[in-house]
Amino acid sequence: MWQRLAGFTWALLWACGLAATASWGQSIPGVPLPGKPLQKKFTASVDQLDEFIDRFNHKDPMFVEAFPNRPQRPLWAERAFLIRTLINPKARLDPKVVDAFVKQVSGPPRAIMLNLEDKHWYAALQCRLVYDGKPVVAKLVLGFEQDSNGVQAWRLRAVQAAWLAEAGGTPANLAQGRRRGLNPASHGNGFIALHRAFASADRFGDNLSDSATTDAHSFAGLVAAQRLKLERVTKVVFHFLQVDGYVFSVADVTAKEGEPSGYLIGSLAKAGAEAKRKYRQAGLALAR
Amino acid sequence: MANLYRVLCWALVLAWAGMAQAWAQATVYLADGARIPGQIQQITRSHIELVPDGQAAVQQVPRAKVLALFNRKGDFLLLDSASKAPDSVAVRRFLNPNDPALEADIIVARNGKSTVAHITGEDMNRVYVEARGGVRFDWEKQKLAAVIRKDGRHQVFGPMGPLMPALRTASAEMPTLKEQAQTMKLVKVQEGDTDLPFDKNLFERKILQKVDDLGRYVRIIADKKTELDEANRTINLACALFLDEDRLVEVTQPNRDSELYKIRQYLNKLKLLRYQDVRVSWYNVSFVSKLRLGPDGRYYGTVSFDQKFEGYQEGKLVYADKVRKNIEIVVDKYKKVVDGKEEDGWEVFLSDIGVKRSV
Repeated sequence: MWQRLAGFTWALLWACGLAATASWGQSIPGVPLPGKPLQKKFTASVDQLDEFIDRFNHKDPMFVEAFPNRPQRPLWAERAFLIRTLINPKARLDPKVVDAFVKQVSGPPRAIMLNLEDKHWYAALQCRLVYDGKPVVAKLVLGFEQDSNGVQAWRLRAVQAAWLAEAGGTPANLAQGRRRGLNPASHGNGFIALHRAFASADRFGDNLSDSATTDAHSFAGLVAAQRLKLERVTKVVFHFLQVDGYVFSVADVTAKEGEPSGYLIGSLAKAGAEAKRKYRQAGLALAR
Repeated sequence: MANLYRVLCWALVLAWAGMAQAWAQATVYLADGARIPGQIQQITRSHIELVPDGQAAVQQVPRAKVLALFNRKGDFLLLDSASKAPDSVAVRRFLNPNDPALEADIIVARNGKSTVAHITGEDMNRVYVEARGGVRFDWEKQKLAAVIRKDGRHQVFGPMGPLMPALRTASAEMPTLKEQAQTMKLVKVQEGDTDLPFDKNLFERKILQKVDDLGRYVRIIADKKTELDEANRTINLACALFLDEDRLVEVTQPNRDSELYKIRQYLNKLKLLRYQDVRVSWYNVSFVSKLRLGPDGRYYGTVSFDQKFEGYQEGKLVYADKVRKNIEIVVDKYKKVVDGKEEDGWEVFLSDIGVKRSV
């Protein structure tokens, strides 16, 4: 009987233990942990480029805490995991390049962070336009610039369009206008603000960067002469050249519910200084 | 010894029963004011079968005596004659609830209005909540009909009879409310704007309030029951939330490119949609970006949220979509006079709204 009683007591303790596990096992002290449906949505979707950069930089631990199968600390291990979640799984990147990139960026010895205020990143906007009544396409390359007074703006750096050389637009005269640019949150909703810039055609030149190429000036001249109208921005790709030895691009990806979507890395390549120069010149039409 | 063993056995059974009572809050509410907590097993046209808490035998309660049933997930069925009888699908879902867990609590007021928020506490007379954007307020319990907690427990504030009209109203909205409560994402606000010339926390709340206001106005404008005059007044109120009427709204269309409309044009189109009934809900405000100083002296940021749109003809859902949207926020400076001195004031306005994708 005592044996039965002892067995029973263990069963009771085990049952109590199970109950305790069920109620406490899911929580992480001090961290608000979303439930399963929220986790799925929260972790799978990167709604804004700013959110991408926050996650990349591991700015808020909540981003990684929300993952059900997250690695345990140390910090760099978590960050490495988090950066991998920001890669579009459908991009088919070279796994060796990804491994080396993640290792370099997450550290140790030195963690590398992205910075929106840094010069070395650009937005490439694929645009459908109407030039003298005919449909044309162009890639507009915008840089995120910060002035000495803290003002930030997106400004036109370069334009890539085969038809532009034949169009022979008049370079916009910057001296007539103030240098302004698109507002610094324009990237948050696909550069809708560009439509307003085209609507104020005579002041379009105000959106040119000091470092704008001749093609960008010609383009602005055609807009100012009302020969060029914007139909729509069809795609936006952000190009990051901030990390030593690498270039990568980020674009807004649509996916099924629960799959990674939003702003994700779609291309990643090793690139030394010379390769980056070529990337700027050939890929983004920036330097001549 | 055998007696001791029997006592311990009963102790275990009672311990489990106690736990079940704490977590499985299924309850039958009767017209005479009584309530029977227990496991509801079957709902037929003539009666409800349940095992009352602490009992082993199944009890049958005539359906005509029952006003409402709550299950352990906080779902409820209304069985009084004034309510529409639940169909077999609703009954099956009630008996086998498998909806995703709620992330927030649902509060049903006696006037029928329901709110999704986080309950932070309660005392004898009041329930304290934190709503979206960290806004805190409280309700007098005497103004509440019921509360459905995120863990499935529910509270009913008073005899069920007088609360039935409020629950009937809430019942119609429950799918939307549950969806909001299931996906109420924790709002992530960017840090680091320490050099802003205004109170960052205050403005974050203002931003979320304006987004909420616009969502509310959109629902009124799209509601086919709204009188034309009221819809037009609401359009004016909605436009006033924006920096100016040149702000653009991107609209997705099935099998076509999205289009951009100026805000008033967009709202007018919404008013004239050819559905007999339109339901629009805005929820899941999820990410507020850092505010940045633009070239025109204003501060700019972006807020992400989801929009659910449903169009009905003859009571049938004929079009529905869910899209993630990003709305640009502008904090603009104005001059105000305080004690005879001119000072800078700051106000939040909404700007362009872009569609990111279907969700």
